[in-house]
Amino acid sequence: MNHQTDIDNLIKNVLKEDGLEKPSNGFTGKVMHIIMEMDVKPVSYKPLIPKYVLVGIFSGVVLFILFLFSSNLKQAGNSSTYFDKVLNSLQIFQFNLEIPAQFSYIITSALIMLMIQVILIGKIYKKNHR
Amino acid sequence: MENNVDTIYIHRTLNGDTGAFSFLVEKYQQMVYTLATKILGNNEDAEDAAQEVFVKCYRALKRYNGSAAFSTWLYKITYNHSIDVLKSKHKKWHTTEWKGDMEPGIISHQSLDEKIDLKEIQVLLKEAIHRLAPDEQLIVTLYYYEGLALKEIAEIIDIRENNVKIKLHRIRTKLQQLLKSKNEIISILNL
Repeated sequence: MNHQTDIDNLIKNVLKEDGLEKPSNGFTGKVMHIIMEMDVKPVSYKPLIPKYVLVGIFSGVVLFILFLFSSNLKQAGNSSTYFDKVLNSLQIFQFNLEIPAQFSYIITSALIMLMIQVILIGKIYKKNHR
Repeated sequence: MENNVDTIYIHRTLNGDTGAFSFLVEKYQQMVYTLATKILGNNEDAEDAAQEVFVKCYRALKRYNGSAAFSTWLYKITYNHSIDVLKSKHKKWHTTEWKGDMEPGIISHQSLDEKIDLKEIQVLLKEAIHRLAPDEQLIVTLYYYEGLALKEIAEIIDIRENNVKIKLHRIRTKLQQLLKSKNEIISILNL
């Protein structure tokens, strides 16, 4: 074991004396220059869902809720003149569907939850991929 | 203590202080460059590889979880990247066999009256180390110069710990053979 220690010590001394290989002067500067250039370039971040799509979804949900609201009021025998006027002016929304109230509330709640989740998922994604 | 200092600079870098990374570059550049040289065999390729290693390290810093020492993690990147560069140049990392016999040229120009002293043994040992196979030189550098444990070396070069032990034993044997044959020559010269 002493013999092994002797050779180990010899090798250590030789290596310490010899030292390590040295890269060229300014090596650190070159590396940091590359890294700084990487940082300066703006990261082209594209949101998971584009803003205009979110606005479109939100508008669609609002209109759908309005439609359902109008439909429920008609069922109840009330005529909400304001909503009728709005819907009448938009001919394409003149459906002849009669949707039960409970169903419409479920749909509305589900859509609201979906909107909230989409926003939350977007925030989590931004946080993890910064 | 070393790890604590590295950790401080790693955290600073991750918190947006890119300049803090230069401390780590300055500290480890020689070792990274040496390891790359041992694998790639020439200074130019080794320098390019060493630069790319640090850039890779910077990009992957978020993924460093502290389970191993930063140096071990960095040297592993160095090893893997250098091997990739070698492969991309369609080269293999040859482990050439040691030629145990000493070259007569080493003895012939020495005077018969000179006593071989420790200094000269060290010189011969240095030459012998340089003549080791590249993978053996790598292990010698990591074990003796850097003082890494067998487990860490095994992790860096992706072999089993037992294999590292065996290789180290072989290296010692080779170097001991050199010194033994040198002693024999000393005794012949002194007759």
